[in-house]
Amino acid sequence: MNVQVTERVLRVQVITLNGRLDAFYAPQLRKTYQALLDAGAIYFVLDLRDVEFMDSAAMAALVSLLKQSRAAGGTVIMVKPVNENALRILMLTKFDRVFHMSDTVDSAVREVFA
Amino acid sequence: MNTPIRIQLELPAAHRFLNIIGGCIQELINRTPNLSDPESLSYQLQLAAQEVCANIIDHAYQGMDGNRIWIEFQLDESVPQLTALFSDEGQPFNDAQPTLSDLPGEGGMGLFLIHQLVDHVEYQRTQNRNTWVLTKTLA
Repeated sequence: MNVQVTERVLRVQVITLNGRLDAFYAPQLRKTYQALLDAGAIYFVLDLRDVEFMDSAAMAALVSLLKQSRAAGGTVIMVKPVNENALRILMLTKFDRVFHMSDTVDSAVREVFA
Repeated sequence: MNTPIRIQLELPAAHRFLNIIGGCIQELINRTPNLSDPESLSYQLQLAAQEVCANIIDHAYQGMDGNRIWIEFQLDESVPQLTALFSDEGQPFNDAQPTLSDLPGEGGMGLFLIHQLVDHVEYQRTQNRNTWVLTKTLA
């Protein structure tokens, strides 16, 4: 897994993840977004387009970001993974009911303030 | 009746080695003939195995170093069906029913996924050893 963070317009933090996102990499993800939260960021886009595999530890880390962001008055928009199996697991675990989901980073950034 | 193909792994109980299990499952599925959707089957089996082993590391062994996980895959190509056995010498599993809380990610998700991804899940505690048996028809 690689984690890349870029700041888009209006202080939206875009966290781009790829490859395998599992219990081994979940702590790295948590550390990355915790630093952003501690610095005052509350609006996030989670770009999962290139994520190929996710386990429950990784998904729990994503939910933790959502909870912390919302508690601070912000939000998280998720860009859906292209991998059909990864997307299917997100649906199976009802992530589509708690996250706003988008198809592209650009549309997700727009939806942050919609 | 065909004799099942058996593959055994013994791994350190640590998150960093979980991808080895996934790689083994992927290669096993890749070379099993006549599967209709090998990519999905491989993904589902990898995720179920990952969740069982993460559960062993985090709960049975409570994250402590120096422990082992024993895994055996039994592939019966005549069905075809894969049985995966995962054993550890950690704490016994608290046999709670798998449920998905209102907010996913708040606990129970790993066990929920295991039950969703394979056909049959069995847990046994024998003396000081836990064994999980997962079975999935590869159709």
